[in-house]
Amino acid sequence: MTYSEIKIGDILPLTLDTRESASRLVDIIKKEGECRVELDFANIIFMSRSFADQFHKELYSCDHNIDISIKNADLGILNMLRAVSNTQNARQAIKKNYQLVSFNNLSKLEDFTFSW
Amino acid sequence: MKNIELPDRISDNFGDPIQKIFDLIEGISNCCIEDEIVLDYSNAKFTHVFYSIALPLLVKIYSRRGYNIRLLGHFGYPSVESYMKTIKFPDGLDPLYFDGDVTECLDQYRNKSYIPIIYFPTGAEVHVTEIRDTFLSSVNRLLVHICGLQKEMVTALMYLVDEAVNNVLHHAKDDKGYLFAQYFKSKGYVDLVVADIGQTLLDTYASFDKHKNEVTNHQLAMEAALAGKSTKSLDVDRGFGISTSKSLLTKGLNGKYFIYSGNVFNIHTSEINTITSLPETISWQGVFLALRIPVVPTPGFDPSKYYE
Repeated sequence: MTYSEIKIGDILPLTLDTRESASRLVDIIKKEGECRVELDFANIIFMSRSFADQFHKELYSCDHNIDISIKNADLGILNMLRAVSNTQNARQAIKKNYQLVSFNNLSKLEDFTFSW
Repeated sequence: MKNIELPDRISDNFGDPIQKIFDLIEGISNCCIEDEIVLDYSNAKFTHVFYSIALPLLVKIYSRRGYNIRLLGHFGYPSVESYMKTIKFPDGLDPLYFDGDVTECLDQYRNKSYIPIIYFPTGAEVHVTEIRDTFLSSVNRLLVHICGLQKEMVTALMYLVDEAVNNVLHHAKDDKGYLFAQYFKSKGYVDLVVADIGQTLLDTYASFDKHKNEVTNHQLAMEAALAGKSTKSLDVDRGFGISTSKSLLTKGLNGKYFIYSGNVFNIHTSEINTITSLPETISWQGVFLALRIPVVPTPGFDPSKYYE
């Protein structure tokens, strides 16, 4: 198996914000073919949940045999990747803890908005 | 001509600018579509982030509906005129149409307490996504710099911004999303808006067979969005953005979260969490998200605790 290194900071912005940027990264990884790919996150400040989710989905849906290792990622990025991988197959129900309210006119609403 | 005089001052109470947006929508909807409507903001002495970005968006919403509506373009107070010009009110900063280096333009705000009004493109074409991703990254980093954030708060702010922006990108079905923010150092928070004037939450759920028979009004759509019901049937992780963002902001940071779509809004603070229905005419076409984000974290704050 061949070995390849991709410096994320050279190809994407320093904050990994959107699903589209994740798709671009996975496209680049797939072009490496069947190999071990080291992703170097040096200088990367942040990874959004959307990026992590799209990255996870596209990478693990591909047919290539790609072995990924993570280098120089700060704890926030590792935590995000872990959190997203934990939610790929199951999710807990979100508890309803809100109150339902309605107003027929805005004058009564004013006291309510003032209290925020 | 119907002249609607806009408020000369808006307090920093979280609800006041929002109430004034509701008042304005009511005022416009009480006009006839044949009227020439002028929104007169010339007497403004104190503006607010939430209101300043809502104004041009309301003009767009009602223009699309066929109303003849415009904003009066000058301000009587020089300080307000200068501020509004600097934040690029009302046309915003759009990287697709900016004449010059947009990164250099953003650098001019590094010593300010606010960013300009941002109009970000939502298109899926490769060249658009590349421009947008680079631009949004610069905006995110500018915000972090302005607020002087470190470590966990960098992650928290970017998480909140990116979840909101990604919701616009994937649900609004409109050509632009909108973002604006200002940091209030003496008060210890940043007020941030991410908004669109595309599909409402109800429009989004109604366009998917999975939900269209159970989500039939704006209140049910809001409840579904807060419950994290994704419109993507196979994507278990999709639909976490709103719930985790609310939890991170309100429980983790003691901040305030307001989301408004159609004639329904949710206000969530450490004290209240209500879904409120308004009269049908008091309606936002799209989604309007307003956040008050404290910048000093509570001891032991760890944003990753709120990801799942």
